[in-house]
Amino acid sequence: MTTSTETPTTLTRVQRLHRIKAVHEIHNLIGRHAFFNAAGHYDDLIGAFARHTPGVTVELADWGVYKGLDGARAALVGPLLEMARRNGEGMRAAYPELDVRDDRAGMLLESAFTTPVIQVAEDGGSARGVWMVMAAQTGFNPDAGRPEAGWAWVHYAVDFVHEEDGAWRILRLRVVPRFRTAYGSSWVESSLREQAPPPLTTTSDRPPTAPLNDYSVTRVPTYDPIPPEPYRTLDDLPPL
Amino acid sequence: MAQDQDDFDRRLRRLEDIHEINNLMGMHEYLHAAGRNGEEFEKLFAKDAPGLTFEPEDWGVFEGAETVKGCYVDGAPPEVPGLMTEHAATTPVIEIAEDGLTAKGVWISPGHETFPMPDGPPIAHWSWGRYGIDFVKEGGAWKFWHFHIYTTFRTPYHQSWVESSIDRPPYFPEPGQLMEGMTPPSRPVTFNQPYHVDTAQQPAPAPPVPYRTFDETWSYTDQPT
Repeated sequence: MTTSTETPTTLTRVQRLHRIKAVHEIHNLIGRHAFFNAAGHYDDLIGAFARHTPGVTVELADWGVYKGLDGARAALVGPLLEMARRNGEGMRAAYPELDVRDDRAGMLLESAFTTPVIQVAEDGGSARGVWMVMAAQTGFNPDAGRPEAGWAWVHYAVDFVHEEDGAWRILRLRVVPRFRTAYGSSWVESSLREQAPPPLTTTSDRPPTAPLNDYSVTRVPTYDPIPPEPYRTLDDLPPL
Repeated sequence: MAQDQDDFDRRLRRLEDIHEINNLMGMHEYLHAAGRNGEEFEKLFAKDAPGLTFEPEDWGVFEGAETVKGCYVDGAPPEVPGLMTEHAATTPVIEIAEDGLTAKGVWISPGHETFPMPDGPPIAHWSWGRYGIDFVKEGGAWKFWHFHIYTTFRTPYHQSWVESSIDRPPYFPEPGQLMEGMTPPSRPVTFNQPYHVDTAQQPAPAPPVPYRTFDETWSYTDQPT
């Protein structure tokens, strides 16, 4: 029985080399996602998604599943643009002396991707990975009248495909929050105050596949997302 | 030609080993965060290689499968509402032995822990540590062999680690105090040095250097030299 820590022994050298190279390329791909997300490089962010493979989805635990490249843009870029718009509006009103030109002035979305578990399919055509993401975030809070810092810890579960042009790209992406809290409050305190998720400009294509299970004093954390086990081909993958 | 192929195979195998060890470390973190210590112990800890050891923070060294299980599984906090612990694995330094039979790795681990309290809401903490681990290959799969967790700091959310080192929160257990259900350790702590204002940070665990066989290196659960 293979476990998560074994490489199948029936593969050729070329297949094994392709798979181990894929691990490095996937690390780089997810790293670029973090850098593009932080810098507001929205086209680059969406450019990392599959172009020749049907079935692109992005699932955000608060809002649901978004389909296709348009859905990925609505889910990932839409909220960032809206957050930036509100941030810029707030910053210019609160700090007229600063001559704020970029809507993103004062925003921070720094996400460190850690604790990877990555499995490349035996056939080398796809991969699945999970990460623990530690984030330092800042955005203008109109109630406070200034930028507000906060911490967020989420899990990412991502399916990748090796496309016909030789590039690895994201096929399915799911974000599972663990906690989000303003800097001055612990996640326990934040959980005890009702917090609405930030508003989105579009609605999802279908509801979330799992109930929201971020930190709560009344809940026990679930084993979700489940780190991948070795698998043969994309069709063998269970849902993210 | 045959020698070139053997050399290529060895190098490819080592790259795969590094990836599998990173995966093993990640699996530890996800299973532990989900409160699945029992499943983790069964799947990921060495069972055949002699000398299985586990040294978590300030409790001491637990030797042998039964005693390790008695600590890591039987002594684990119960999964109750409000409990949450997560430890990330970052900054790896990994060396695979030339003979391919063992490996060593260290990680820096930022994390958080939230504990239900008897009187009042749970308390959130930042909890950073390090790992120094020896691995052994069993049946073609890498397993944890000598597993050492080092405390960097543990501090309530609203108190810095500097303040906690001077003014230890009163509800923290005493250093070395066993948790309910935990088997006593086999031998004392080899090394654990949480942050304190009057101590300098030590190079522990020492990042591994290339080595040929395990006879030539140290164990992360031995006294450091």
